[in-house]
Amino acid sequence: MPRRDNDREFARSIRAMLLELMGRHSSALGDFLSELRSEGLMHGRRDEPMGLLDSEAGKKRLLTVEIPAIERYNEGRDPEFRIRLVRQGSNLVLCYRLMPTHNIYELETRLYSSYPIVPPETRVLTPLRHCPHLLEGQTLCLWRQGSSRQNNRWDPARYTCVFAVQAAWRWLACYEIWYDTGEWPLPEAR
Amino acid sequence: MARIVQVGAGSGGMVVLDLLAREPVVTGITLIEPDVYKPHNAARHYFPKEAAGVRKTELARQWLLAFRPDLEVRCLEVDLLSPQAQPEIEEAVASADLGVCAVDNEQAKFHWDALMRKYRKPWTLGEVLSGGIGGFVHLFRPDGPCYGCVASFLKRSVEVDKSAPPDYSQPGGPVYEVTIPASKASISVIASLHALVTAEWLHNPQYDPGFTSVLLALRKVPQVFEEVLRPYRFRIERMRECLFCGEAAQTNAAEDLDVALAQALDRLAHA
Repeated sequence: MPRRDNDREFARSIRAMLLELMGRHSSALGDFLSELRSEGLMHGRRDEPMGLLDSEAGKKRLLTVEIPAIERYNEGRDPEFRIRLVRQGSNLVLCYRLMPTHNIYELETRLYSSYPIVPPETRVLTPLRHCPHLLEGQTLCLWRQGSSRQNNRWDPARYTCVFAVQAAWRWLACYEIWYDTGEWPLPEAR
Repeated sequence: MARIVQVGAGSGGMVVLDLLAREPVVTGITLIEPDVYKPHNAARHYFPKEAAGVRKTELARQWLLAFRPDLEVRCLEVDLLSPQAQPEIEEAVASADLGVCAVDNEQAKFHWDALMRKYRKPWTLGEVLSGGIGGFVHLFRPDGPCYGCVASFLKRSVEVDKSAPPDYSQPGGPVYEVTIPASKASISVIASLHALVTAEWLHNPQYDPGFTSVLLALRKVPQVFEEVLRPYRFRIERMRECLFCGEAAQTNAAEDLDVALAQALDRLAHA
C-alpha cells in the first residue's frame, strides 16, 4: 500500500493501481474517480462556498441592511438589553436579552454563512420548560416554509436579523402565557 | 450577435443550452458548471452512461460544437459560489449580453441575481417543480424586480389551505412529499419554455411577453393545479422595500468593505 503523505499523492497511487487492475475504460473506474473528485482528492480540496462574511453581496448586506438595523434597535436601549454581534468562524451570532414581561432571558441568534437565504436560528440560553414550538437545544421554532401566516415565513427580501429578535420576543411572550395557563396563545400556524 | 453566460448544465440546463446554441444570433457561450457526469445522470441527460467521469462542461462543449463549429464556447469548471472563481465569473458576466440560470439551489440563484444586477445584465431562470408537476420561467431586467422580489411575491401568493398541502411554489423545498425527481419530459418542457423566452429576448431586447414570471402546470394536482397545461402569468413589481434591490440596499456601502465591516463588527461586539 502506498504511504499516505498527502491526499493528492494518495489519490494518484490509488488511480495507478486501479488502472492496472481494471483497465483505463472501465466505467467502474470512472465512477470511482468521480467520487475522488467530488471528495476533492483529485483536484485539491473543494472551495468552501462564499457566504455572508466573504462575498461582496454578503458584506454589503451586513453594512447597508443588517448592521444599521441592529444599531437602530440598540439606540436608546438599556445597555443590558442591547444586541452584541459576535463573529464565530464563518457565522455571526447576535447575543442579547429579552424581557417580554418580568423574566429576563438570554438568547443568541445565529446567522449562518448562507444567511439571509437560510433563516437565522435562535436559541434561548436561559433554561426553559419543555413546551410547544421548542426544538432540540432550546432552539425556537420560528419559521415554517409554506406557512399561512406571513410572519412565520422567513423572507430574506423583507426581514433583517432584528426581525428574528422580534419574533423571539413574541415567542417568549407566548411561552410565558403557556407557562401560566397551559395553552399556547397563538392559533397553530398551518 | 449575442453572447450568453449560463450557469448550470444539468438535465434542464443542457436542454436550454442546446436550444439557445441553435439560434444563429448566439455567437458565444460561457458555461459555468463544476460537476462531473455520473452514471445516474444518463437517465435524464443527453449523454450516455459511458460518459461518466467526464466533466459536464467538456461534454457540453463537444455537443455544441458538433452542430455549431463556429460557436465560441468557453467553459468555467468552477462552482458559482467559489470565492477563488469570482474574478473569472465576473469577467464572464461582464462580457455577456444575457445570463441564463439553470441551477436548483436558492443560494446560487440569489448570488447569480446579485451578479446580474451588479453588471446590469438581463437574465432568465427556469425552475422545475419537484415531481415535474409544473415549472416556472422568470425574466429579470436590470431595473425590474430582483430574484428576492420574485421569491417574496411567490411566497405571499401561495395559498395554503387548512389541510396544509405541500408548498409546490418552493422548488427543491424540504417537504418530503415534493422531493421526488421530475421526468425528462417535464424537465424538457420547462427548459424548452425557458429557452424559447430567452431566445425571444435575444432577438428583441424590448421583448415583453406580458409577464415577469410564468408558471406552467403540467399535471393535475388537487388543491394546487386544477387544470393541466394551464399557464399562470405574473407581472411582479419591484419591491421598494426589498432588502436586495430596494432603497435600503442602494445605500452606498464603504469602498473598502472589509475595513468597514471589521470596524462595524468591533463596534457591535462591545455594544
